[in-house]
Amino acid sequence: MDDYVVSILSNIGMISFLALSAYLLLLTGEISFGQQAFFAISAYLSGIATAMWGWPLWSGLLLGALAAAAAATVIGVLTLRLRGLYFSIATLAFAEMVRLLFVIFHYQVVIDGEPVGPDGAEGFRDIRWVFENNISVTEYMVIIYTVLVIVLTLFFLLERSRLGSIFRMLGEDTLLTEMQGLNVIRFKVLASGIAGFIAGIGGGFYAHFATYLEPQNFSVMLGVHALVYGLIGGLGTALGPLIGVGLDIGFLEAIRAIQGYRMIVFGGLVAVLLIFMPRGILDEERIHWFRLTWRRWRDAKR
Amino acid sequence: MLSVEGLSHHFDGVEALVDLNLQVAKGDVVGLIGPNGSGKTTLFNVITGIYKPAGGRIRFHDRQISGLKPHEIITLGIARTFQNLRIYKRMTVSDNVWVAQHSLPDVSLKELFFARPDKEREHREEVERLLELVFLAERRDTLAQNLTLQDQRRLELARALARSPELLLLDEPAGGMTPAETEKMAALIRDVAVPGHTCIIIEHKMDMIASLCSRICVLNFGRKIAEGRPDDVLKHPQVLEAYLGHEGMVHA
Repeated sequence: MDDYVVSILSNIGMISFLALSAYLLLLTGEISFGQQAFFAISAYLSGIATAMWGWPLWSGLLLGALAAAAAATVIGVLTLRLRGLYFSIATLAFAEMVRLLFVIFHYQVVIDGEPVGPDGAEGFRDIRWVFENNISVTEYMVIIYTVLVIVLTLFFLLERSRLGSIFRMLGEDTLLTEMQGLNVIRFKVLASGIAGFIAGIGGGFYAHFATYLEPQNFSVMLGVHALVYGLIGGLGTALGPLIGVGLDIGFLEAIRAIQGYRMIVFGGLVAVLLIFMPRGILDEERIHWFRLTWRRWRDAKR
Repeated sequence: MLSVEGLSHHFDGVEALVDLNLQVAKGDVVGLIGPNGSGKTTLFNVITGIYKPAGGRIRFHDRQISGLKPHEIITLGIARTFQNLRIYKRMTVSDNVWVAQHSLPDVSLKELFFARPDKEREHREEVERLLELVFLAERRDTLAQNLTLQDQRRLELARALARSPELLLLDEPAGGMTPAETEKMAALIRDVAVPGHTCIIIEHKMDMIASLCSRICVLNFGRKIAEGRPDDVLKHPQVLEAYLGHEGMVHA
């Protein structure tokens, strides 16, 4: 595979984590414009762990994702009592705050006579674990997709579990769910924490793929994209956000002919889809239809 | 079982409930009637903790529940339906009942992630039984949003029953129904909701209330204006005035 294709595919894989993260919150009925903050927190922290503290990649990733989950839990406790639009604005404000904190964040050590570490607006260079360990870009892509498949499998299991149905209950009607005797805030905070963890995995991969981070990478546009992926791909299944990512990065960004117009085409696509399919391509109704058809087909075969 | 003592509530200075007293004993079927805006649904919302009362208190089995969080109150054994009909529209009919079952307090943290197959089977059987009761078994795999209003109200009833509540609060269970549908709903409530449950029913349809309830409580502007057996209460002059207006009463 040529490097361009590999980098596009790797991008799809890494952004998929962020899209799944935003999707999980969409399931519980919350629109977060701030998932890129957890992506960023993990990117920086896992980069610090491998490049400055000499940790192996997997433990750096885990640390980053756990820190992102912790941050998301705290933010969840603070903001999830807000309703609807107020929550969305709070997440947006938080994410910008995190980004600006990285602009003034300096933490460097000298390794082999060179300073290494986040240097504010100058960014964080030389997160070289992947190169130092002779992992090719193709191998790295395989690692990303292996973890993505694991996360996706867990996600499907989650959706089938009670917890998953509680998340969907919250997304449909919070008051009614409270009237089923559930502590809704606690479950929303839990969803936020899990979503933070998933975004964190993507962020860790991103840091070691890009080898260079700067605060500008984690602007609001990243979060808006993550959110829209679920909305266009569909809220009926965890495959929805992945379809969204594939459509945007795989299709629009990869086709060089329309590269300059990507955002225009993408914006138009979103507008059209949201008018005709307000809950995305694979929405609950279509997924329900697939399920019924599959069951009928299976029963007929017996 | 339920004891409402001196309960008051107001919205921005508008008195919604004024010094309300109501005693409900185990097995009672109480009808709650009154003109629109008289505070009936507000009373349900205060009982279930959605609103915190401004004054007075509510006890359920000698335990004070006013001031508790909604989910804590519900968990004590209260279930309700809604005047403006709340169901999980994007879930199937059977899932609507199933989710009410599996959020019962005896479900452990571990079971949030890993269902126990034996319990699961038990729950699904119970769901099936409830759907049979409310004549929705044939529609178990339909998305709830595609049901008729009548069926959606039945689904709400099944969902409330799924929690095996001691106290059942039904808020206009025949709201928006034709007379024929109302009669069916009344029969359904008599057959499946009244046996084994203590009920408070809000309804405007007097025939239905009179046939189901052993006692009626009438609210007007947040105050109780009459309480007693249906025959007596429905002839009460203040009740007639509240419903028909002063002139209406003269003609009646």
